[in-house]
Amino acid sequence: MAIKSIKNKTRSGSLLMGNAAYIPDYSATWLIQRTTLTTNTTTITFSSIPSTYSSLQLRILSGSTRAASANINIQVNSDTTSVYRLHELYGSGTTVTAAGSASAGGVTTASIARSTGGDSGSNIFGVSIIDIHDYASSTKTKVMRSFFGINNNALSTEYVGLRSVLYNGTSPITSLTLSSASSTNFLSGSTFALYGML
Amino acid sequence: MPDVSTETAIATTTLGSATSTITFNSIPSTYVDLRIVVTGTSTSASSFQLRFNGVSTGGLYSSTYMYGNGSSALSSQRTSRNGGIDFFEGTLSATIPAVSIIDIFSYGGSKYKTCLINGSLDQNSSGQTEQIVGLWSSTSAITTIALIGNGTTWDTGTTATLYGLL
Repeated sequence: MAIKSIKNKTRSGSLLMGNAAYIPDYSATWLIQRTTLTTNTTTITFSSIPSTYSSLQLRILSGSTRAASANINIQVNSDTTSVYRLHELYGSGTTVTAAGSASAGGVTTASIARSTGGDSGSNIFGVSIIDIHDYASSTKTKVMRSFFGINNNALSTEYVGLRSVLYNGTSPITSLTLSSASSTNFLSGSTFALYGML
Repeated sequence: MPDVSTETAIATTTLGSATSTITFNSIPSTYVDLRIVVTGTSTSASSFQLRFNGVSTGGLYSSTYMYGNGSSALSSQRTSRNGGIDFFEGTLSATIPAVSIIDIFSYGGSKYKTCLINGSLDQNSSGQTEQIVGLWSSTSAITTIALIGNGTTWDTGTTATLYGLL
């Protein structure tokens, strides 16, 4: 029987044996869930949000069934009590407006962004980026920051704005519900994506 | 936690000499949204434009602005423009970099392309902060993006990075 042996006399102090190290392409931003509507829909809910991250970001591309643009309302943990406060600054292309919640005790829902309506035509959706930092804290209230916009080449009222929404509760955020205001629906094709950021 | 890089740097450039145009070509269709972070200076007072796929005709660009310049809060709009979506509307400094973050939604989708631009041009006694929503009235997928000096140039040292977001 032949004796076969392989002898490699190379020695190395590293397990890599001269090979390059593999460095995973590690991102600090992770997609938790994306929903693209296939039918007109009243509400979108992100539930069972993991507590793993430091911040959440919602990215929305949306239209509504309303004739004009519609607010996007947000609720935290299905909380419908008067625990929301809103402040906003927005431009319409001609004027700048500052507004806020009138009730000192808060409101039951807050408008975080806007969707286009029928007056923007069928090819244009509103866009928004919503950031929620320290959402998993059990000791702090939560402030959500929104940057949103609608441009339709002056077909109808346009918006570019900033909104700040306070959720005056200390529970960790485990669900977020978005609804189209004025009893309207989000249009089919609208996309809602929730990201976690480390 | 999924082992997937959700946000990826696709390309980055740092100018070794002044140039009027920074271009990102052959953008892969892999992602859902795009983000550009640009920080730069300019020796010429003018604005810059965001142009898609080299399209510079047809009046397909429009935008709505809100900006504060230290004394006033203003809003304006641009309609049916040929060159691109204007940004960095204030005067850039030759020494203090301005920064702009441009978010482009669903760049491969079937609808018109909308972007949000958040710019900061603070120059230690002058400057402005600007928020812009821009529209490219085209259903074409975006494969090229150019950041163009509107009668001006980006200075040496200007950096621009294109990110893809899943």
